[in-house]
Amino acid sequence: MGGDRIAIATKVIGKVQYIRGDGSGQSLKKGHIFESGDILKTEKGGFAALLFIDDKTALKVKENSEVIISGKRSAQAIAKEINLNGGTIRAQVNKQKKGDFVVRTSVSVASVKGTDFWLISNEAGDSLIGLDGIVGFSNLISGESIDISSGKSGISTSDGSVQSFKTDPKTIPEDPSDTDSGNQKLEIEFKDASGKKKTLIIEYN
Amino acid sequence: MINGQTRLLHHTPPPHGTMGEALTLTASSLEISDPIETTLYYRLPGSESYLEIDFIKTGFNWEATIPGFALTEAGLEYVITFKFSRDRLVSFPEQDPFNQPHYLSVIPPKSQPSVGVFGELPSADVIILSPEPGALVDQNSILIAASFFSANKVDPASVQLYVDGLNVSAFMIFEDGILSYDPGPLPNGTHSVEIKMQDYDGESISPVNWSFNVGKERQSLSDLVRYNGRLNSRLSAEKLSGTSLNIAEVMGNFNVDVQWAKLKTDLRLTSRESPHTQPHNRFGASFAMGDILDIHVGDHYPRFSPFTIDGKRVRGLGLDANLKWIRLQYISGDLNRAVHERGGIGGGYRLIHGLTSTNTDGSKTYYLDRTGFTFKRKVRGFKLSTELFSRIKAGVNFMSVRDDSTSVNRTLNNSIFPSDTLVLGVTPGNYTYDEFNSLLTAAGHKLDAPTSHWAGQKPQDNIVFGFNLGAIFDNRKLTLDFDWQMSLHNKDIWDGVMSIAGLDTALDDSLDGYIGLQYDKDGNEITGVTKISTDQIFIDPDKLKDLFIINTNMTPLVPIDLNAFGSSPISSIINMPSSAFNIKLRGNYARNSILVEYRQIGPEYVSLANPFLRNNTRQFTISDRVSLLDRRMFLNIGFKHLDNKILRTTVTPLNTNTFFMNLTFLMGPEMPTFVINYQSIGKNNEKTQLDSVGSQTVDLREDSKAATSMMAVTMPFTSGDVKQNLTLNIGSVTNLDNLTNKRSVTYLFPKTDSKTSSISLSSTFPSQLKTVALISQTKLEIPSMNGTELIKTPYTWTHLSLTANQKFFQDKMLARGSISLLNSKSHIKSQLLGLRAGADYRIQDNLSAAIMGQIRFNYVPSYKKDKVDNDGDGKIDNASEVLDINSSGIILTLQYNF
Repeated sequence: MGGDRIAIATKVIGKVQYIRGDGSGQSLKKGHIFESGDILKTEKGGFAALLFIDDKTALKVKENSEVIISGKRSAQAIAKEINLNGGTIRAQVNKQKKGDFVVRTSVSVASVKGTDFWLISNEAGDSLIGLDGIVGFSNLISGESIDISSGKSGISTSDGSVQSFKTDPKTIPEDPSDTDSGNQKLEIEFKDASGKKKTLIIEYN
Repeated sequence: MINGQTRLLHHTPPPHGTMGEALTLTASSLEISDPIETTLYYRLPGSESYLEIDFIKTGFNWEATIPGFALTEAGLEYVITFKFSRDRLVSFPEQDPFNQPHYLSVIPPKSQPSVGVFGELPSADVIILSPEPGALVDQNSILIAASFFSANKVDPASVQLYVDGLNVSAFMIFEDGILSYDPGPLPNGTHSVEIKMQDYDGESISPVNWSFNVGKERQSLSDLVRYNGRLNSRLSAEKLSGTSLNIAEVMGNFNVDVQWAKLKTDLRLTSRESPHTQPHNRFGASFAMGDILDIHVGDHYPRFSPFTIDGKRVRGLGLDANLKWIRLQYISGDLNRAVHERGGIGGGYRLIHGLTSTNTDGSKTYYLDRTGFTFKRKVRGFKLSTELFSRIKAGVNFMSVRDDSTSVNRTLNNSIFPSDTLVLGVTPGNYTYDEFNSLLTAAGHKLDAPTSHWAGQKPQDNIVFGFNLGAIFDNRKLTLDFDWQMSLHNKDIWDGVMSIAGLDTALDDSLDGYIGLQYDKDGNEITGVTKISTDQIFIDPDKLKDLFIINTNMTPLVPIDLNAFGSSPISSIINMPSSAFNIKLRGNYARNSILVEYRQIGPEYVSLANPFLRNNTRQFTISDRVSLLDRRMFLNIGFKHLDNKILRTTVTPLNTNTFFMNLTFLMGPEMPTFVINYQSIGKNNEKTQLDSVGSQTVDLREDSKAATSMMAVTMPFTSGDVKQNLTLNIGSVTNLDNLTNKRSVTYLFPKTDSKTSSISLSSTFPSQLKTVALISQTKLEIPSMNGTELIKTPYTWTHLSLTANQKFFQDKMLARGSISLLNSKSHIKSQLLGLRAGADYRIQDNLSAAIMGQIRFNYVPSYKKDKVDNDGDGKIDNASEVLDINSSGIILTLQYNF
């Protein structure tokens, strides 16, 4: 499952790295084309958004996260699989032509055809917040599985339990790509005696 | 332009239009009075019906703007009509305008759109990755990206990327089907992206275009709700030949976008609105929920098919639900509103002396007919269609149009009509109904004023139903479409529905189970008379009256020719006189756009919702539009045969054979553009003998050829700092009678030859001054007979004009002015000198005002010594006859955008 070019980074904020094969971490820049097996790591304040090139399925990776992006290209579609080694991601999955869109963590598997959800993974387990459609959410340890729909959340823990409950809106992470770039900007316009305009731009976080 | 100088319409066609760009056409009338209706009709070449736009008066000219979407590679056909009082009509083109409209070549814009001659170019499945179309993105976060994952046929080497019109292909990355380009920070505002590409055969593929916005994120409410609109008010005060004309109009639109739904409203309120005419006001709103549902309320322009309704205005409800695999369109509303009378004297009643009868006591009964009315015409219909697997298209449709005979007032209390000396005992003058009736009764006469079944217009009923089938081949490069429709039309529903027994005795007096069967005095059947068995009417008319009113005024009574059905059933079905169909094959291959089409409209086919349909026609068309020299040269060539030979009984069919050729050559940016149009129309009615009318013979034979040609060259050049465009335009219409040698010397071949030439120079100066200088000349030779002598009366119009625009005050003000001289040379020489001046001023970013004043002088030197009181002021050959103010006026406009 290596080598196929499958996705492109469309937005990068803060410190984000990618690792290809046995190489060392490289700074990620927008426009970077991901190959299957690339590892993406975000540091504090970092954020990356990428789009799969076959159907525009979006994957958004928040700060302090690590994901392995894998996919197998065929003529019709890309079979996609994300391994989340901790952190927070949002998947906006368009209808899949081939197989499910699969997100794995150390304790859970989320499998979908087309939906929008957040997945937060840490040492205690995984939390999945459904935003649209239905996500099949399975615990790898117990094999137990539940469906998470819009407005519901599910928790899958390392003791094998998995359960769902109504989403508390306060727990939904903020999506940096829904607002601004994160870099705030102050623009001050100056005009000289001849009427010529110049602008001073101050960027801050 | 038909019957003399005072009815002339002057219009110089533009050399060409530009694809996707709105085009303003200008026409002027030399008529003393203003026209009642000024309409521009336009359509895609070969279409069945026209769309209509009203002209707007702009001083001494009339202007109408064709929207950009109507200008495609296929060109455009248009007709201009000016309607004056008493149904006088002048048109451009002059002869048979709706069947032979003026063809206008349309050239591509600088950046070529994805519109092909008969639709879209072949497309590729390119996925726009970033930015999303229409998205608002931060200045520093712009990445332009697209995926060619599913676009296998695209040659990667051909892919070119344009941002804001600039070719940035050298800076883009294109790897493994992924295109990306980081443009760096872009200025706030809207930016466009275009990806051009070709397939491996070098054929152009429809480019991918989208735009996005750079700027700050809006506040939360404006994220959810966006709105914009425009409000435009216009006041004009004019004086035409001593008659004042003041018009006030308010036009506007308002659009709300709440992401999942959009609301659009359009409004026009004008002081021209009158209860005596169809509405001039327009109001409509459309509500769209994504791509799934469109709801229209008020004025809208639905389209089912060319044979049913195709852009005619409907005031009412329209619904269009598109669920990808199935689509439902529905309409319910009015095509016409009820008009009770035309207004003015004689606008509601008319005495018909031919129907005056003498009573046994010698007194008279006078017939007073209602006139000037229009019934409310209701329309209802639906179309259900589907496109399956991008391979098969199918649909069914039904439409009902019915006049509401109760919508018009049966009597008018205040309407005044004239009475003359033919009415005995009543002094000639103008009277109301009651006044006239009283005087007539006092004089011992009677009045017959029916409250229905009036002699003029009859209430009608019409249903149209049919289906369409289509097939799509080879990635939409080849399509085959078949559309079949049938109509039932009742020309007079005053008496409502008839029973079967009523139909039996409607044409003959015998209740014998046959319609139309007659007997001789011995009770034997008269042979040779068309008879229809009532057994063949398998439906009870009374049960269908809500759907369609069946009586003896309907056509067809029996839709199929039963006599011919036995011998050739397929031909009988195809040639049903009340059916219409077309079969169309379109192909886009190797830079060619090919059309082969056969279309037939039966002599009894009627759709009241499509007044432009010309029935009793068969038409075969074959045409090809080919692009050459990397889409710099376009050749459109074709042949059409039109006749009316549908019925076997047609003895002298009129055949029209049209060959057309349009060549457009665009050498490139800042290089000359050439347009050449040629059309040859041959007409033949297969008559070989002269006809007899009474004791006289008349020559109704037709065997003629009309050749229309036009050549235009536009040359851009720069002289110093001045950018200029020089356009030369030469055109002619030549008519030839192929039977000249076989005609009588007294025969008049009535067709008019014409020649047109024009030269214009548009200049843009560094100071932002823009000027356009125009010289044009049109020459006609109108034939007439003086005994056995053929006289060709020449008419020549020479038009000189100079227009200038200049911006001031940091572009806040645009001053405009023009001077125009129209020299008319015929029996009477006259000159019209027009002056126009005004300015547009931008008060705020979203508020602007404009003022325009105009004055036109009419100079007729021959009136100085003709010893005639030409202006009717009681003085002969006074100075005001020679030079007078033909028209003057002022127009104020205020526009607010929000």
